[in-house]
Amino acid sequence: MTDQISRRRAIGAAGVALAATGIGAARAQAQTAAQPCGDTLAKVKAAGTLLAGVRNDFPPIGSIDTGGKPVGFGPDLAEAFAKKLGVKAEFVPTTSRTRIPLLQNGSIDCEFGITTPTTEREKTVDFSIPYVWDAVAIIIKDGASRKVVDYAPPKKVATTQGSYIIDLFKQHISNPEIVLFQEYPDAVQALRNGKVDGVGVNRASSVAYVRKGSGLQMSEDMVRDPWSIMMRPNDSNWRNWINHTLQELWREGTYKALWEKHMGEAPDFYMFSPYMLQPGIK
Amino acid sequence: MVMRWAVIWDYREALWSGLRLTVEITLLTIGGALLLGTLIGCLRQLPSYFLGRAVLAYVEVIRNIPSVVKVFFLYFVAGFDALPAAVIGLSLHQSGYISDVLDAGFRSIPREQSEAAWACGHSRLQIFVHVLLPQVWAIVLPALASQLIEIVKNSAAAMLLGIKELTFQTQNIDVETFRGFEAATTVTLIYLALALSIAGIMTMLERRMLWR
Amino acid sequence: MAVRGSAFGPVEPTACDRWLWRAVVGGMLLAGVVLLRHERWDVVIASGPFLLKSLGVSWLLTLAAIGIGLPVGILLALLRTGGPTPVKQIAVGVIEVVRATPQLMVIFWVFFAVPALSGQKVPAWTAAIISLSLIAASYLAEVMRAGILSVPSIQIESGLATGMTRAQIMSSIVLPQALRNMVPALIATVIMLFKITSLIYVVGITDFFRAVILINNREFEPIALYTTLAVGYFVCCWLLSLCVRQLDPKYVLAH
Repeated sequence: MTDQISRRRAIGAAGVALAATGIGAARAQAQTAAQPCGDTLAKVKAAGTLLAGVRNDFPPIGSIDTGGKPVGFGPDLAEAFAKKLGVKAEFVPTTSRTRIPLLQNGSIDCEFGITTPTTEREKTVDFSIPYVWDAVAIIIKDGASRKVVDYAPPKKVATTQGSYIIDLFKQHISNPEIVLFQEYPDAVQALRNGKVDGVGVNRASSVAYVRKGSGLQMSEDMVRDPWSIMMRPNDSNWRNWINHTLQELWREGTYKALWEKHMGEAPDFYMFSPYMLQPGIK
Repeated sequence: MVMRWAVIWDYREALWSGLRLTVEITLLTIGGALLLGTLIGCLRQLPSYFLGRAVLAYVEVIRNIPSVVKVFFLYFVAGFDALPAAVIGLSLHQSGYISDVLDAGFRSIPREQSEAAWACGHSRLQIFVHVLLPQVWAIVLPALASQLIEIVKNSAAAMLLGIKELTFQTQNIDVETFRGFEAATTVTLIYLALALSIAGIMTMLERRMLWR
Repeated sequence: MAVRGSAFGPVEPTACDRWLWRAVVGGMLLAGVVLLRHERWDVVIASGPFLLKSLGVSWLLTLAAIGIGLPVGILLALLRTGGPTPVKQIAVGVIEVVRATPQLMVIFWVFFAVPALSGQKVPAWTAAIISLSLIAASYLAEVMRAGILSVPSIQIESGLATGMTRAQIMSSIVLPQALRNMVPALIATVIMLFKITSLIYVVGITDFFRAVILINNREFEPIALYTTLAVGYFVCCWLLSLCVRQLDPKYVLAH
């Protein structure tokens, strides 16, 4: 009996403790000033390592081979960047949930993933110029309708939790029934088992799922979707260096070669603008 | 990052629907696990070597595989829908433990009672139903309470299948507003309240049983 | 396994019983092999090294969590049994809150709380180990408390009578016996933590569970891969639970 009474009081004490941590943390945070200017470029040169965030769940942009090593367009591009700086590239796996926290806590210096530069995200991180222009479409079974509007309820569409594809669904389908998974492989497996009727995904990664004989195909495009390299805010040196190096790699032909290696075709977009590179890029 | 607890108020609808789903999954799993666990716990008491070993093997297999693996297997390989897969997987998982709890309860009843009833000429079935079963419920209630709280905790695994229960909603609040800490703290308190209510109900049941 | 007990008394297996059981187990294994022989096991074998490495990651996380959780758990247990009342309440509060919360929720909470409270951002590995250690510490605190309470109080009273201080009694009489008594429970907690590491999936660390899912993403062979996943976990946990049963046959694994 005494055990129970003290248990109840103890849990009350715990609740108070939790609230107190909340208030105490609020006070601590109120004293934190705005983020200072970082200098990632100097840090990377000094450390001799470029910490590059890459996806390992999104072929062909980023996946792992049987040995567990990161492979794909993202890691290859990161290697090219590191070579330009004369440092080693070290890969850190990111997911849609961890990419921003990992950037903020310094585990990665930049992310070569599938992050779309939305204004909402720009409140916490900075983006380079778009480094991939992709498209978002729905993976569907062979023989199903390729028109996006046909996937209104009772059909179900899926994507990952937190993806901005959720908003795209709401823009293109009236009252969509969206099922959210933690990872894309789970969503595609659900499609194959008939649990959902389509998986909203980027066309670049659909290459891995929609192979000949897989029984899956792509619907029409919903939107052309830019991806940018993500980096910490208030770091102009780093951002400028990344933007310039990206365009230099384009001018040298390295970018196009890597793209064709992983996507099987030439890119149908241009760096910096559809007409020309940034004035001043050598 | 400054704290903004007002965000939780904005998401009260989402948290409420998440709570409803969590309670639904929990209640369904409690029903399934109790049924299955009791059945297996009773089967174990039959004086058959074969059944005893079979039940032991079942419990070992169920216990040594994590609940998420079972739930994933049911959904992605066996092809059940999300809610059935979660409920069946979690019921299977907890039934192993509940049958163990019942077994311990049966074993703690002094054997003299069964032997005395046997000497009076009752059949095995009569002994089981009239002597053992009524006592075992009073004995196992505390252990059963902790198993029910385990069911509440394991219901969080359903979020991996896309079921929008409480833990899923926490994640949702974080990806939409970056207020993960406030959301997680609030939801932890909600889970605490759930666990406390189950403990309270079981204590009440215990007291009513003792009064008999 | 000698004699199985039931509510009606010990069951003596005959030789016929034993052979029937072995035949059934053998038959089921054979059926499993026959049904599954067409699955793409070559995928599993090709990814073998990667799977083993990620299994090692799961074990590393488990052992790190136990390594940190054990001293913290012992501390919490000592505070709970012998500390001044407000400290006792806080210790009880922490233990009960962590034990009553879903483990998935604890992982998420730590993942959000550590950067929010400390003002600094910490990597996913650190957050994972902190959350697993927190879970380990709270369960081990209860195990430890049971161990401490299992030492007969007459020993404590004798110690007090001979003029030893509480600290001396704790360190030289109670703790050594308690630690020895709690070894089966400790191993059971290790098994439990190993299963919980499968939840680290959500944080993005490549443990055994996530590794299988990543390979499935590329190869699409869920039957072979998920079976390997289940068998892998089963073998690891079962072997450990056999150790527990060797040490203490009467121990009922509560988790």
